[in-house]
Amino acid sequence: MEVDSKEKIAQLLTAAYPEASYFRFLELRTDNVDDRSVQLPASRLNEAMFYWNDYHEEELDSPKLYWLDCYRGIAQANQVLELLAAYPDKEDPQLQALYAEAFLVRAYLHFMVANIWAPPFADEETNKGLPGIPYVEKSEKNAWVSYPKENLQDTYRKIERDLSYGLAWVRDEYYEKKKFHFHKKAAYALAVRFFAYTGQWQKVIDYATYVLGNDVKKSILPYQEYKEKSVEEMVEGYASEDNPSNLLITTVESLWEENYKTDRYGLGSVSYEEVFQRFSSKSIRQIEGYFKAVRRLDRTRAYWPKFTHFQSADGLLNERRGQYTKNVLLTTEEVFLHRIEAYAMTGRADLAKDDLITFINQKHIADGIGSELSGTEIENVKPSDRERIQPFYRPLTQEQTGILYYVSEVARQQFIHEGLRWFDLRRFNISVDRNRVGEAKKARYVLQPEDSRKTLSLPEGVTLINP
Amino acid sequence: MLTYNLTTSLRLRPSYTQFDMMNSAETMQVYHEMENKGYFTMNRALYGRRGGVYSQMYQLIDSFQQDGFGLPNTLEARRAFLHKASTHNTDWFKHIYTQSLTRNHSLSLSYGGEKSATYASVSFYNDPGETVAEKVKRFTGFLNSSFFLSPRLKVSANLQANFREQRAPGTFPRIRNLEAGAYKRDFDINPFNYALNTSRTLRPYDEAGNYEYYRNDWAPFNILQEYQENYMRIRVSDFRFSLSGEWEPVKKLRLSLLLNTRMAVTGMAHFLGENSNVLWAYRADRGLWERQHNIYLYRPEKGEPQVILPMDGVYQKSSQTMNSYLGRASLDYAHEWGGHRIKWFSFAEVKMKDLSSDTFKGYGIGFNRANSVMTSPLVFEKTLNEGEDYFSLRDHHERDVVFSGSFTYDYRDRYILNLVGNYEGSNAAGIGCRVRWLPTWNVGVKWNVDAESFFAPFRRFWNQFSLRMSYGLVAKMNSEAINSLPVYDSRLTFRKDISDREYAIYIQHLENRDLTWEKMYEFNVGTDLSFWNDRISCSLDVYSRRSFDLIDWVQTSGIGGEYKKWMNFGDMKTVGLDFLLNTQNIRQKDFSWNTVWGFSFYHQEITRLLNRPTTFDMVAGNGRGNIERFPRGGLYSFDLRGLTDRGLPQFYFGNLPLSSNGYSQIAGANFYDTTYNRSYLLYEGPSDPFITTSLENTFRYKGWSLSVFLTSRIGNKVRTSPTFDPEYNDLNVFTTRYRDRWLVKGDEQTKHIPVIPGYDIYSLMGKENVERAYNTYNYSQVNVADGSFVRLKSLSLGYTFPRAVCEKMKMKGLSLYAQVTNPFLIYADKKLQGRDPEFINSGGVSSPTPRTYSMSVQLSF
Repeated sequence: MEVDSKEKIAQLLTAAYPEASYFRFLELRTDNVDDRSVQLPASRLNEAMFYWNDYHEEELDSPKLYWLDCYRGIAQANQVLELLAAYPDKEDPQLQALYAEAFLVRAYLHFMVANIWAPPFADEETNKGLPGIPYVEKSEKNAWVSYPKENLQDTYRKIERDLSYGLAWVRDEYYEKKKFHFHKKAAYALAVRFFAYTGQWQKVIDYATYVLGNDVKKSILPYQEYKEKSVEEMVEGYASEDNPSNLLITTVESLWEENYKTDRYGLGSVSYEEVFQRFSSKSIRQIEGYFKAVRRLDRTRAYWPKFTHFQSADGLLNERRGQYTKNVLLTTEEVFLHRIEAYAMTGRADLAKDDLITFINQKHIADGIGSELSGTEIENVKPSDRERIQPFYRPLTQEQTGILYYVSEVARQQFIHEGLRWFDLRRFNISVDRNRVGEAKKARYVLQPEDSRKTLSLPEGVTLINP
Repeated sequence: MLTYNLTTSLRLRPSYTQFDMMNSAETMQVYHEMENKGYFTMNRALYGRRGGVYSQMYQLIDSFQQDGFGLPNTLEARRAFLHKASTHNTDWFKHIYTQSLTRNHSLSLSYGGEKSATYASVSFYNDPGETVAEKVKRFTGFLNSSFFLSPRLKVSANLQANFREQRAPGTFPRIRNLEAGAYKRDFDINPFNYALNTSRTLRPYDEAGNYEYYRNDWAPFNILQEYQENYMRIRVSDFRFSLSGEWEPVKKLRLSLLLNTRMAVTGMAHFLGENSNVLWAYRADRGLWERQHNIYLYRPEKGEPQVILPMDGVYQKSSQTMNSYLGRASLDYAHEWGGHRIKWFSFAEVKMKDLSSDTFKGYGIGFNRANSVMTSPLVFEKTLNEGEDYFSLRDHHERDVVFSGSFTYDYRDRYILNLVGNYEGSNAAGIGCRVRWLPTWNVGVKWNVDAESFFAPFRRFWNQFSLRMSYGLVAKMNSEAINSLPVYDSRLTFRKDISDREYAIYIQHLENRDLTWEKMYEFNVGTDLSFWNDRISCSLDVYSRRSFDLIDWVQTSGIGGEYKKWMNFGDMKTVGLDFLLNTQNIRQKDFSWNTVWGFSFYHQEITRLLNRPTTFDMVAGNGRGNIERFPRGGLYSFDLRGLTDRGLPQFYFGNLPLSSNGYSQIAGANFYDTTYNRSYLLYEGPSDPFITTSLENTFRYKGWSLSVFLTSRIGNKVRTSPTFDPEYNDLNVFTTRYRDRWLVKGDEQTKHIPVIPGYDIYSLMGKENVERAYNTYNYSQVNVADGSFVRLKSLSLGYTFPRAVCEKMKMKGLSLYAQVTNPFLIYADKKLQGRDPEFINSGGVSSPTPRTYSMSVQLSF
């Protein structure tokens, strides 16, 4: 078949969105999981990721499959850009919308690859010496193409360029299923994430304000909405288009829905206590909205019901394929939290604290411990916790690290099982210790603040040539 | 003249002794070992997806009739039941294979005169079925008439018709998306595979003569019932008509024209009766476990899983219509002067073929109720929600054009020069592409030395001696490589709510502008020799072939967006020789003995390779294990280094980086590795034999003739079928190799067959690691056999009645003929354990060729 109309070009873009998931392999590398119990079955993927080892298999949820899927989407976007060159009328709004979506998808996919397979973003001089990821801007037309090594500064410059093209022309009117595409709010949410990771704070505030609107309370999902819900209802609501906090949703082929409840490595008794049970803490107070959301299968296994499950005909024959779930890629909660960071970094700590209080009150502080936050909790953050926050734009004041620490701990609960904690571990240079109490300590069980294992090694068989 | 021929054959049933399988008693011993290791708990046996004797036993224990439980739940009763099952020794081949006779009648008629000649024949073939699941009936008609309209003009017309009706066991052409190297646990009712792979502790009938069932896909299963309820009916109608004319307008020049058309309709209907195991599986929803795990139930958004086919059966059909047309115009010119002679032949041909195929699945048809139809709407919900199509339509158009010319010059039949050129075009690679036209050409010279004057003294005993030399190019395109231009595929995005689904266009193939055809240059030197007036004649050809730009599906880094692409990936060179010897050993009035011996040998090396194959490509023998300086499609194996002290296999992994978890020597294999595999894989040999030879001896005495035909292939290595299943149960069968398995600590010193893993090993190592270890074992050097064989291919005896006797019976000729095909394999590697080396890599869909006895009678009037 030929792609010979703008409608068909739009369909090429629909197919560019990711169909593989990073949730499982990144979540297993964070401090949100522990070794639940020796009795439980361990999958090879989870065990390798838990100990930050290389894993080169091609099964569902593996890093390699996500790499392949991102570049597949990038090729789709590049094909679209090539076909759009045949339409000369650059003022046509539909054409502009297609250009915008192509640039946004390309920027998003490269950004995700860079956050997984390249070192964390640092200052300009350091970036020039760090390796980036291949930035593909043209469809591959030859049989065997070798891609050159690039440095991190160039990679991020190109991502920012594509992002700005997309933001300039993004429009909503041509999308039938908005939430599965980069509509304006989703595009701005991506911008917020990008500018927060690269430290451009004013832009974070500007774009976030558009996404959150005037009444920020309405933009995120309050605890009241899911307070009495059953597991089925929660799962339904997590990736629903009606959920106001969801900005970009995708369907992925993934085994995470089964695995996060049953595998040996996952949210277990130790990590559950650390993340969700904050009974007597004077700083990070227990947030009932998060605590009540998490269900316990038994003493060793906990999970927050987020993932729905459906299977295709392939899944009838082979349980390891054809299993699908929905992932939420961008949310208003994330935008909200980045804006709080931005306020802190631009000297408006008071606005930051106000927003943090509004956010947490939506998610509800536990009864009986004092009904609302007062803002002094930030001061009560222990120095040993605060000092773990060491982003590349340090040094920071005590208040800033306090706010950032608080925000990262809230994010940890909000985005449990979604792998986003890994990105915070990278950009804040936080360490993780897998050594267990009562056992001999092993050096390789500690992920150092700046550890080479925070960057995944390139998939097996990928070699980049020197330019 | 009228000729009638009747041929009847008998195919011999295979037997277990050919295959070194354990009988039911030994198999039961293995099951006991498994029982002691934690297998066959009541829960798994009763409610699991599949189960054999243990599930039968627990069902009896669990069922309560008027006078008590089916089987008392005591140790003695259970032991007695299992002991009885161990004595069954069911010969599934006997129940499934019928040893029936096939019959083929054919009648042909030819007559003619000065002005015309006609040949007509009809034949009818009836095969009541090699197995109870199969039947074939075929009718063929053929009519050919030639008319000599003038001494210079001849016209022929030809008509052929072919009808076939066939019954075959129901198969599901589903493609399983397996990880590389994983054990295939497909359930197959193909008769040969079923008989060989079904436990002999089970039986088709119980004591009372009723069908006995075991458990498959959550429902009862009996193979004989399944063959009756689950079958396919194939009907083919094929017509061919052609018209050709030859005209000699002037002497030496001949023009001919050929027009040909063909129409074939193939219809395949798959009937699934309501009492087939497949449909019982669709209805299995008793009990919580079944409802939770049965994949055939429909799971709506909210609520309990539901049955989508409460009664009736399923009718699936697929049909294909093909229309093809061919037109060829050719020209023949010959001229002689002095001792010189030239011949020119050229033709142009146009071919068109249109194929249209469609499939349809009908759910809810009552075969016992006059085919009345009642479909539940849930069927559509399940089908659509799971992204399946319930009907499809596909069109395929092929267009080919060929231009060809050949020129021959010879001087006094002594020196001959030949030139051939061919230019072929096809639409296979898409619109406006660069690889449309394939060139082929060849230049050859021949010198008939025996026609030279200086050869005269030798001619008494050496009557033919010619030397030949030729050089040419053949270009070939791989029909799967359609990616000269980008190829798109339109699909609905697979999302949970059907209302959320959108149309999306996926790039199926990126553009590959480097794609070009495969080229092979061949240089050939040969000689033909005959001695003593052709009493001994032989010909020898030595060739060197250089192939460039071989095409295959190659793995890339994926950065371009297409992980595996069709591309030109390598070059190869092959040298070889072909030899043919024909001797008339004894040549007397009443008795003669002829021998024909053919022999071929080649040596092949890959000279350039763009990619690195994965470990799986190298160990699977799928033709992609390509390494420079080795032949194409080599077979490699993992290096097994004995067993651990728990009976698990361990391997040598060379430079492969392994994880530090303690099981890496056992389960650390990575089938996708492309970087380190040359450091730990062992080379076994090529997948294709490099020597092929055949020997035919024919003896004639008066009216009798006896012919013995042997074939042999030497040099290839095959992988024996993976039999070490990471997930054993009481349906597994075992070859006698299992007698040598690891049983107790200490066995690892002497044995190399791994232990049957118990549930303690599963919980210690994790199921995925155990699977990986056993899959690696299946591809290690102990599971390789030599594919060389020598086979007696046929033995035949015929008798032609003498003319005098025929005339007395008012016939023109009468002859009888008897043949045994595939009588036995004279030599094959014992490690194959009876599997036929000729068929071991064919995917195993049909039965291997059995030993067949046939007899025929031919009468002519």
